[in-house]
Amino acid sequence: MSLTPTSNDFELIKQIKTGSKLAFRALFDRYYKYLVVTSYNIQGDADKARDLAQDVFLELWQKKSQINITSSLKSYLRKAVYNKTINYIKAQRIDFKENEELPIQKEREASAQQMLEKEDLQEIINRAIESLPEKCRLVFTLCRLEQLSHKEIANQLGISTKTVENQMTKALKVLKSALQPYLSEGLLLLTLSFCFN
Amino acid sequence: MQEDHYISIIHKKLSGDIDPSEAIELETWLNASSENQLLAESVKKAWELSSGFSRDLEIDLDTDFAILEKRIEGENTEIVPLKSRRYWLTIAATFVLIVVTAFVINNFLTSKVEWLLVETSANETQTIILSDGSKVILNENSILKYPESFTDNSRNLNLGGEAYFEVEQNPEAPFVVETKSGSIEVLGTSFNVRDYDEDAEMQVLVNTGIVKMRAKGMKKVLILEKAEKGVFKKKQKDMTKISGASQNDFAWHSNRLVFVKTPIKSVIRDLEKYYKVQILCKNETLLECPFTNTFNNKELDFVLKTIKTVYGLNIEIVNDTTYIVSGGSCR
Repeated sequence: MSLTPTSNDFELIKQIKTGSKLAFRALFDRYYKYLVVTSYNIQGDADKARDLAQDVFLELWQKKSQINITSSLKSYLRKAVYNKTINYIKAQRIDFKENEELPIQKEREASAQQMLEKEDLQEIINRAIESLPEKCRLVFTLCRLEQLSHKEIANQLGISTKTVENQMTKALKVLKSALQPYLSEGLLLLTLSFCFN
Repeated sequence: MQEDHYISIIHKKLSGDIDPSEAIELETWLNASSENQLLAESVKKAWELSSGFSRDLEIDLDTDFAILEKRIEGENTEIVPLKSRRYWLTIAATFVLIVVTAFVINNFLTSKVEWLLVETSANETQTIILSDGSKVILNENSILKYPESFTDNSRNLNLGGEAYFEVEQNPEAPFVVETKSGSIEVLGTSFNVRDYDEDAEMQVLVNTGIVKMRAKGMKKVLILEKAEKGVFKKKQKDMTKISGASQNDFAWHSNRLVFVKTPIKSVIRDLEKYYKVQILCKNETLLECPFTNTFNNKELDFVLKTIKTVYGLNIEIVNDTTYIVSGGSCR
């Protein structure tokens, strides 16, 4: 039987089950970065994200004979790294009752200079999200990226839905302040020119 | 704070969780002033854009895979209790001898090479690491056939479509890529090969090093160096060298577009190629205007907006893949 890993996920898993290190490497190349970024976007520590993504692959290799994936391999892997990430967060025992300082938002008018500075609204939002304090950003990314409901987030993190709502309001406040100077009436032109699609 | 209260209600509306009394409260508040409307608009926009949040990370697959491998091996080592160690050593030694002999016999008997195959579909690229450490980035709709491990004195592979190669130095073993129309031989270098069935030409573009390009059924050989491009016209059986090739030909895998006093007509050509769109320029005087900028991993909208700001253009979107540029002037 000759080894021929093809680009099909299902085929790769078949090969891995037989112990093919090459197929395992191919799978790693295909999905590792995706898993690292998924974890990183939620909990914000790049090295930890790499650890957790490697844990997923380690377990996959160790339990390779028992793998039985019925749906998409990509979502299976994503779920695995997501679960590990949430467990890691819970192990951190983040105290949500403690009040976090919001970054100081200066209300300012965007100057003409800034308009010409090829600033992308998406980049502004990305930077604003990154500037959020840890707990606030965590709740926010679970809501917007993982698409969890307030109830689900509350359950996962062991906090109340009221706390979740407060954190979301805090986050939106920071984000809207970052965006507002670029959206004031005189600058509607910029919004229109941005909205290409 | 009042603002917080309304942000909370707007948030409920955006997540579809608002109850009727709050909805009415929101309406009233919005109608009260344009400032309130602007606030609501900002929150809405922030909400929409936040789902596009992502952070980019530099990941070295080789390094991280090596770390993973060490962990896998670490899980496999057993700690042998001291008492029985000598007994085990004897067994181990015998085992090693048997394994080595078996390996030598096996190698001697099997001269058959295990060929591996990787195929990509539309909009898919894939990176493959070869047994000598060389790297291949395969573009969409392409196929690469390569041996699981190279022999000592040659490194041969087959390519259909397009790929970018980074070849490890090995003077003992020339690296040869064969395509339908020809072959490329190198010792250690990085270059791009493009030979799709539906293309009229086979193209080889060198990034670093020196490459020998040969067309099937032709005696002539082209020696290509950095930034030189070899083009083989399949029908006419004509092979020529073009110098001063653009770095943007590598954009399909580097995701980087570089323009240095590049005339707009070349900029448009590179954008059309990389983003797979059609851009028609109605203002002919614009075509020779020099443009300088670098774009890393950017969407087409961002690039067009930048160019538009520099030259004061109008950009019209006809559909997903067609844009019309008009107006503006060189500055």
